[in-house]
Amino acid sequence: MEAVTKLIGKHVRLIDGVELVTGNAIFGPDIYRPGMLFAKALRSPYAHARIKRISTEKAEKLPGVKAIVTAEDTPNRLYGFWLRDLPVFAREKVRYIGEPVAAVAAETEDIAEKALKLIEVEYEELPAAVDITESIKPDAPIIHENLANYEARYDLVRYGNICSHSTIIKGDLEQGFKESDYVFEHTFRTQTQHQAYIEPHAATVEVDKMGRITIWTTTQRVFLTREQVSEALGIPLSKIRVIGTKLGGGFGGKETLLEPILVLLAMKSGKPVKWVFTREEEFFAGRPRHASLVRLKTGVKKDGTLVARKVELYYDTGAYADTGIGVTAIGALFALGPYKVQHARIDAHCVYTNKVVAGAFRAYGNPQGSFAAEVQMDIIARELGIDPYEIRKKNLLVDGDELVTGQIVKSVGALETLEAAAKRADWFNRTAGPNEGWGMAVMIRPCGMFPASAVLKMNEDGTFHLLTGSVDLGTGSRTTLAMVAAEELKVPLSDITVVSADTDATPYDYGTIASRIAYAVGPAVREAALTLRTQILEHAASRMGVPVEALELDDRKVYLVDNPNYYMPLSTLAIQRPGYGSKPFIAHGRFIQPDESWDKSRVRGYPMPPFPAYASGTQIFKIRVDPETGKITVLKVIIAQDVGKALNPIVVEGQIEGGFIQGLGYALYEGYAYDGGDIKNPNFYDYPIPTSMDIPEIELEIIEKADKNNPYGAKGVGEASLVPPGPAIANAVRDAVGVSPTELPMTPERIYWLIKNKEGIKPA
Amino acid sequence: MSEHLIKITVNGQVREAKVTANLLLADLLRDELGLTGTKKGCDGGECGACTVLLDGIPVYSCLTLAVQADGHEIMTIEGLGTLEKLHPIQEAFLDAGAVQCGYCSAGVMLSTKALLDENPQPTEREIRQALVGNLCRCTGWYKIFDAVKQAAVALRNGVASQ
Repeated sequence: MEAVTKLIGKHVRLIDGVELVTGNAIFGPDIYRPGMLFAKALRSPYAHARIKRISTEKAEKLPGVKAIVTAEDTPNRLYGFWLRDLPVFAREKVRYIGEPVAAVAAETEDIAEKALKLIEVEYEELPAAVDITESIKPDAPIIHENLANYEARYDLVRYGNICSHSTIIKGDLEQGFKESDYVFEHTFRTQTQHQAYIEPHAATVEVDKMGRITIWTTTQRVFLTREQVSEALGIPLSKIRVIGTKLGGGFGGKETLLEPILVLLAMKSGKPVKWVFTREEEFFAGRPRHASLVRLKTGVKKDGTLVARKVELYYDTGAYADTGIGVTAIGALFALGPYKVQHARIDAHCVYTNKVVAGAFRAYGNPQGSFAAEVQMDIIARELGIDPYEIRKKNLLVDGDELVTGQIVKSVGALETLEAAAKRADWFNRTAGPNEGWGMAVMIRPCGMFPASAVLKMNEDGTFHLLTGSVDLGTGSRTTLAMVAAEELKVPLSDITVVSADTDATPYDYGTIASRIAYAVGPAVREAALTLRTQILEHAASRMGVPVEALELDDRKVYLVDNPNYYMPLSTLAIQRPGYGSKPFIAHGRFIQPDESWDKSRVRGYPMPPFPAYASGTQIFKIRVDPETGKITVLKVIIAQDVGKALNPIVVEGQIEGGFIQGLGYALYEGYAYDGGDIKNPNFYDYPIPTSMDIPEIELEIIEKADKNNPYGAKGVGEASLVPPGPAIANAVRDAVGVSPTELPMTPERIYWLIKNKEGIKPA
Repeated sequence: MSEHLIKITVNGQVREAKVTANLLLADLLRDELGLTGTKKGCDGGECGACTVLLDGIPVYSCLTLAVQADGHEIMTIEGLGTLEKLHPIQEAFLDAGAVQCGYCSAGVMLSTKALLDENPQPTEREIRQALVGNLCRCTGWYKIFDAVKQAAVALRNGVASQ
């Protein structure tokens, strides 16, 4: 597959780059519609409470208020991707601090804010379960009394406050523990992390006189948003148009959120309505990463071979399931780490609590389980006197091995990344001063799944329009997809105009998630380009009076291979006029996920198909710990990641670097500070994300182990680098000060007390 | 709420406006003057997406009242270069891959301009310190540092700029 390519594999500037750097790109908050109103939502101040009475009378009288909506204005419907448990407004009871109870559309944001204060709500507080451990107790307050009756498209195992319990069983666990020389048991905890995209959620809804709804919104998944608005409000899909605005970062957190409420306000007021979230609202009402509790019991042979692993994972999904059920399933899939284990039992639970709804965040499901698996791996290595590299090499999944679900992996580059990283680090000659240490972590995760389609058409002047339902959230995907079209049609990149993310005008796409655009949409674009190329050549053949086989298309011309001076430019072939034998030039492509075989009998309550491709990476850290403050200083980082094929290397590097820094924040200091169900740090002062001063030096090695299904060999890139920093740093801490952190984030305070506890000193 | 007639030079053009005392400069620029290149990302002074240059100095336009800018010169991202001729900083950001979603980019580029106008040959540490008032979540910062260094070289070599 190593064809000579003009664009694929080269550093290419973003096709919308000029638009972005000149301030001309229109983001969600930049939409202005004539006569538009501004929306604000009234949110629950209680984690769990019955709503006894709502009165909007006083608020409605405020001049400038044009519409107020509550559950009363909403059809009594629930929606949700995996499980339909989510109402548009809290009905009868509220389940988290921040849940919307009412919304106002007014002439200015100020008036809308004032109106909120005039809405009267009477609550009766209920006992709340604000932690996983509280929620899973048999006598816990029940958050969703009707859980058993909620509609779901999948066979979910649900009970109590657990909305999904996925089980994967391989081999015979008890037998495995019997055969083990040593058994290790540990418990790990990870925190709630916010995506912290700099652009807040923003949407504008306008309803025309025929009742057709147009939604401009910050979504990564225009088709899903359309579907969910339809489901939530009972409006047919055909009456809803969703346009994805230029997205200022998403990282999974921008799916459907404010649109259903806005549609109600637009319908009731008869005017366009715009809503931009405050930063505080982002923390309370966004969709941050699931916090977790992981119990890991592992049996090993004295030579380090993993024999048996029992994993209990609990994901804190907050008050509603949202994507939690998928997170839980994918978490289960790689709960063993990137290893082959003969006997395993994984129980992954998606747990309700009375807290903010958790959702999708880059690498979802992985960071939690990988932290546990990789930190315990080092503990095991140390106890057995085996080098951390050697124990990993011995157990790592390689091509031909089976995942815990019985699927055989065909192209996984974890070992290649481990070897490359170790070589760069000169691992076997590593040195460390006092309080310094080295740590490594390896990960594998699925990528590239779910259907995609693309449409390519030639314009009347010989240029092209590429239509894709996917959203470019900063990943450069529009550029990458345009490169594929330009490459296959052999025209300059500037001849391709990309139209994206419009449910009326662009073909279906599953969404910009799961490291899937290059892998899934890329081939759809390629297929469309190749079909279009055939149409062009056939038309040229008939107009030039030669057989098709004698022709070639390159550089905007169709020419006779044997005599290139006999050619027709695309601009001529494209002419649409009587007497030119004109034809329409339009083609589509579809990506259909290849079938993978696996062993369904091993899983229960597991609503995920097997995945077509796997991304992997290894990171090695050298750190220093200050024993007096607990502060970790990162001295050296090596990142090796298998991307299959780097279609646009500068974009690929940017994705790896960006994901890595988010992983660094997750490892060291990011996290919601909860007080019961209340968030004490809902802003960027108190929820710190890495700044320019916090960036360590890194060495990045990109490995290209071609995927066998993708025409260019590409695998997904966007997520993998976020996963290793947590465990790699924890392992380096262990190396440095002799004790392994089992909780994220590894704040100085926690590391300080970890060291002191080891010395037998406890907090006062 | 008192109203004031103010005159601000924005990107070289004198603009007059009648504003309430509490109107933010960011909102004047975006909502009244249609210059939406200046972004808002937080609830006040936390992210830097709203950075503009006030008499050449980077300020948060979300913490500046429009009346405070009366009689002063403002540069927004729209004034840094033109569609026909980008500023070397804009070129460098595109070449180095320093723009992903682009939402923070205007603020970062204007902070960069202020830095390079004052310090044409900054060290890496000086670059990091100059940009610490701008948050970026997409890039991880590495290519932004590259871009600033590239822009510094281009400007020192006398590449034409606005």
